[in-house]
Amino acid sequence: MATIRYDQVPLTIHYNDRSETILAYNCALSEAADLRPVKGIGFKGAVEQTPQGARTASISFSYTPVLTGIVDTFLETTGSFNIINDLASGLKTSKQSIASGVDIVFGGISGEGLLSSYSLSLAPYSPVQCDVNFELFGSGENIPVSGSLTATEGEKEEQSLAGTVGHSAYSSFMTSGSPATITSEDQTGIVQSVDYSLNFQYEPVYKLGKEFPFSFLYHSAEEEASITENVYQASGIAFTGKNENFHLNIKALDGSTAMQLKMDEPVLSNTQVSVDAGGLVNATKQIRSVY
Amino acid sequence: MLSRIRREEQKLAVNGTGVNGVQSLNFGYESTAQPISTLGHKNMIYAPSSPQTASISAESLLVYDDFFLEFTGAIPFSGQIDYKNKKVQFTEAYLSSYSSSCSIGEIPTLGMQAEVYGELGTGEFFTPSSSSPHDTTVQTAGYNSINIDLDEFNTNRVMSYSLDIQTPRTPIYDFAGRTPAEVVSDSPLDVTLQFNIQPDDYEIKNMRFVPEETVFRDVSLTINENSKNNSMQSFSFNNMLLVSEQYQINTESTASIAFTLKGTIFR
Repeated sequence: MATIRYDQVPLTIHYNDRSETILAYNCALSEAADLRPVKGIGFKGAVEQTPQGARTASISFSYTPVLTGIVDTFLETTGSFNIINDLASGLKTSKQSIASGVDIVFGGISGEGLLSSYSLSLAPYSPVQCDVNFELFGSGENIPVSGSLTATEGEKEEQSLAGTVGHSAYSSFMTSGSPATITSEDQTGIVQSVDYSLNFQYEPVYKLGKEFPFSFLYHSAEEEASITENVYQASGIAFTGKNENFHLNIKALDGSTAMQLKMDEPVLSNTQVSVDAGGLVNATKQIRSVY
Repeated sequence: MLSRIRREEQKLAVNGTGVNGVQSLNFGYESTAQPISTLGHKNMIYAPSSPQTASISAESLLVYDDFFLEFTGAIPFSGQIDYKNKKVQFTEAYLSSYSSSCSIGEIPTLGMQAEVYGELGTGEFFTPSSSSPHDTTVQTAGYNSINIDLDEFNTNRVMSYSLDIQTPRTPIYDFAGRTPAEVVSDSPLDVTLQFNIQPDDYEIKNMRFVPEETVFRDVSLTINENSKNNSMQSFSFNNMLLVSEQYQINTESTASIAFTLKGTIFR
């Protein structure tokens, strides 16, 4: 039987002596060859299709994070957060120019990847869903991925409450220790949802004679959060935006562990207010940090 | 010995006041916990996928002044259901629909459905007070004490009426909240009024929804105590739009027409 079910292809990541099994909803591995057809006068069709760049591969997956760190009421953090959260938070403020990758194993296929995008959505009283994309890179002559897709029979376990996964139930979006809301003269806004994203830019460093880059230089990161709420600040936004630190504290369903996303002095880049007939006025504001 | 719970062992109280004449009562919840299927795992974990709500519905006879109508506004209510020696409390219930109906040979009945955005269960969600009966004097309405004012009925016999008011709500949840930070009472309220008549000179209207054939009616409905003139409930609607007429006849009955009027109430 060649068919492989979803419960036979675990997804694990390894980084700095830590390993985590990801509670992934889906996973997609893609590879591409950068080929160019070579045409010539006097030849019909293409003489051949030849490489003009390195082969690339990427892996993307959606998952619900298992939380391991602690965030207390004074925004102090202790313990290690989950690998991807730690990786994203550390890398965006990193002073080091060379980025190291994460080992990713998906159903027997493995590769080393750089986190290129990381996003998550928080909706009322629901599990947090994160989406990530890793660009897999080779090294010198090694291709980006190795191994073959194989089925793994894991242990059967009893069904249980997802107590340690990130859930919006006890989460908060804080600024300066208080819930972050837009306030008008006599009303406090209700933050209804938060969509967060973080994108990294790298520069691959190639050597002549080698197909794959031997190193990656980290350049910058751009972080955005789109917040939906029910009030609109009629005075509009200042041209230079508004600088405040934001902390998105996501806690587990049992409230014991957490992860934190800290946006350093984001500027308010966009606000919008909209309403449909029969509905309620909603406002969204977009804040952005650049590292 | 087989034990069971009968009607005399049950009681519904709303905001500390007992509801009399209850004919049926339903309440409950359906968990929003959803299974999370993940790659490479042979177990199922569950987590709430959306805020949890519950619902409660009741039907009662109109045996005193209309109890539920006051909750068609923006005010929520709490309550307690006693059954045998147990009790279930609920908080922040918002009426989502209200109905009133009567046919010849029946006592007028009221119905309500409410969504519970607070808590529901066997816990102490508020300090229980001993619920007092709503009224010591039961006033029963009767079909013979209902007055309906609508031009068509002078010579046409009304066999039944049915009034339904939908009171939609929109809960606004903080993304971290278990209960809504605010429950908005939407507008407008949809009103549906249905009559069933035995026609004499009633004239079926034209099906085309064109200006010269469109029918609007002012309707007033007064429900008095049985065989008396003291009003227990009255409704008055202006410019109700006639949206449906259904003529029915068979070999064993008198011809009847069911027609429906629609209206809206803006808050």
